[in-house]
Amino acid sequence: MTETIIHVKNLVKTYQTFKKQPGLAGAIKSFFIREPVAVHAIKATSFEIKRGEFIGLLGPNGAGKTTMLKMMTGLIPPTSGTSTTFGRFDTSRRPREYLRKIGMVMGQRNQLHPDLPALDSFRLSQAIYDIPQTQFEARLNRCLDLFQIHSKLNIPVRKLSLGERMKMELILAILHEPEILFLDEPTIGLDFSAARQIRTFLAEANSKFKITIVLTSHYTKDIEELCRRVILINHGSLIYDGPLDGVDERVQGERQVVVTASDPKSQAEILNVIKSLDGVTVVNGEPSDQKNNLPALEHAENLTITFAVPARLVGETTKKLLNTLAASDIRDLTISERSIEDVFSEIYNRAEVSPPANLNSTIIGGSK
Amino acid sequence: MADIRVLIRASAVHFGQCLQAALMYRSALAIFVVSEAFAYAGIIAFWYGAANSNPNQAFYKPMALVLYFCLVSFHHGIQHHASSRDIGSDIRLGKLSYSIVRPFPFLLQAGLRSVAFTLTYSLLLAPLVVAAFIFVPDLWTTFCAGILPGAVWQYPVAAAIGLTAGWLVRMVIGVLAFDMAQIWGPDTCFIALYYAASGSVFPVDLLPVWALGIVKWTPMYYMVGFPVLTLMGRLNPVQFQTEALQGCVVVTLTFVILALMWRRGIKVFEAIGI
Ligand SMILES: Nc1ncnc2c1ncn2[C@@H]1O[C@H](COP(=O)(O)OP(=O)(O)OP(=O)(O)O)[C@@H](O)[C@H]1O
Ligand SMILES: [Mg+2]
Repeated sequence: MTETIIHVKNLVKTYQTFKKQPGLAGAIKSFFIREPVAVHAIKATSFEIKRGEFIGLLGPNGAGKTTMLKMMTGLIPPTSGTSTTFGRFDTSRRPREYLRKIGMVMGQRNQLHPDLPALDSFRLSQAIYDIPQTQFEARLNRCLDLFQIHSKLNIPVRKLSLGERMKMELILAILHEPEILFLDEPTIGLDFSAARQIRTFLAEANSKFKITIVLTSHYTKDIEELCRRVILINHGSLIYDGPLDGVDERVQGERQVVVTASDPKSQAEILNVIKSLDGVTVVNGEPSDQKNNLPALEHAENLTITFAVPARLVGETTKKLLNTLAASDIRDLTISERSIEDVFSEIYNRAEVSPPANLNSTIIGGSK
Repeated sequence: MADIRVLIRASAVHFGQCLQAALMYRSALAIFVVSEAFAYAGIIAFWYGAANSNPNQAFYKPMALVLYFCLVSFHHGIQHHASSRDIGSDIRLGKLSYSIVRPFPFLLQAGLRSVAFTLTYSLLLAPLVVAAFIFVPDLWTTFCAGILPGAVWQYPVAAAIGLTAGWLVRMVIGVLAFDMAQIWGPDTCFIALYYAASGSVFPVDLLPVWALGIVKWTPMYYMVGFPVLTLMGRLNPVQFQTEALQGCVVVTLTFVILALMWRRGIKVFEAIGI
């Protein structure tokens, strides 16, 4: 039985901010009276992470991933609930012994001293974590080899490119061999080869050195290649927690059908027909989805209906659909494989309209 | 014990790197020193003139005034450089984030950074001082005559109290950034008080006795007035001891306030959105 390394229990984060009406008048008004607003960034969320896992923390922008990560590291205190690490540390208290065992990289902030070469920051890290010289050199060389970045070691960090800096940030975060690594969008803005190097690096850190990794990323490639388990968050609530296979099965086993109607009347008709078919999930095309479309796209976009159907039923379903409808109702019809992004965005969209609780099991076939 | 050893080693490395970083801004520092030289010249000329037109001030004869303001400028510059003003932006712009999750106390880091910058400043100032002694006629004799031998051990104590007090006050203002978006309001208030109570714009012991009594309970007095008056022999040994003690009380109180504000601040710290 592997040890539970992170235990998140009923974690809640509510930020307090102020609302300000736009413009100068708003600024003047808010100078005197401020209207406080509570942002519920994370609503009571619980999960456990076992040693050696590679977790993908996913969700659309503003879902609360970074907030979650910050609370898990101890960077910000939760409004309520606890995050316990290694079975004994309350992370919000940041005991020193705990801090020695974690590493963190935030794609948007830098830890390296901008004016000094990365090597200096590495040396500081060596002193802080008391890494013996031989080990320090061995680890550093291994990392530098992997990234092929020896030549940039003595250049001020300020003068490195985004990708080079990111690689150095990762090296810094891993030099003291943390047991848990928290990564917030480490591949943001990187080209495919740099992103691939980083993925290789992380995969190795996880498999060879048994570092538990919690990663957030918007790039499905990162998720597909690295994470065996994903935790989906939307609007601060957990909507899925389980193996990526659950999502993968749907990617493999389903087809996406996009029907474009000739006019709004036919669209309603088509939608009715689709809904009456077995095994079909409407992804987009409900009247409630229309609000998301821009007015300028009215003709092209509003007339399309997207639905997912199990691969084995795709022939039967389209046949029924075409038989029931008049040829003039349909302007276009495409059948394609589903991508992992399609499945994720379907889940995110559903979570907006229905309460998240039941999504856990229904959307992905819940292997919780 | 091992922890302390690690902490000391890390502090040494960090301190060395702060020094390096400070020295990397060499053109900025050079310009700073030149502008400082002009400021010194201006202040000295002004007070020289003022002293000549008003010879009634019993102690502050022209050369004493010049001496006073030479010393003030030096202390003012050091205070300015040692200031912990960066702390506010560290908090607001999220630089604090990584420091919080590393086993190396942030306040220690900030302190070391200030010491490093002070040191760089003092080093850069040295040539300026040497040049002044070489090129200003008789400066050596008049300047040194104004400084009493008894101050040799008193002055370092006074200067240390002053620097600590100054650093702590700026930290307290910086830490306000946990609660407010802009700390320049409190910072401006501080500067006003600094001008009034520190002795940076007029010899502070010219204040009426009652005002001086109040001023000596503020950190600003210790930032500049106290070390300068000590060096000039304006305080007798008993006065010096009393004020040094009083200074220690002020420093301790400021430190307690800072520690409380820091502990509270770190609990409400929301890092930065992204
Ligand atoms: N310091 C803060 N003060 C107030 N509100 C905040 C703060 N930080 C985040 N928020 C709000 O909390 C919510 C969650 O933010 P968070 O940064 O966790 O999202 P995210 O999932 O990381 O998004 P992204 O993918 O864009 O990085 C957002 O609605 C954001 O506006
Ligand atoms: Mg984020």
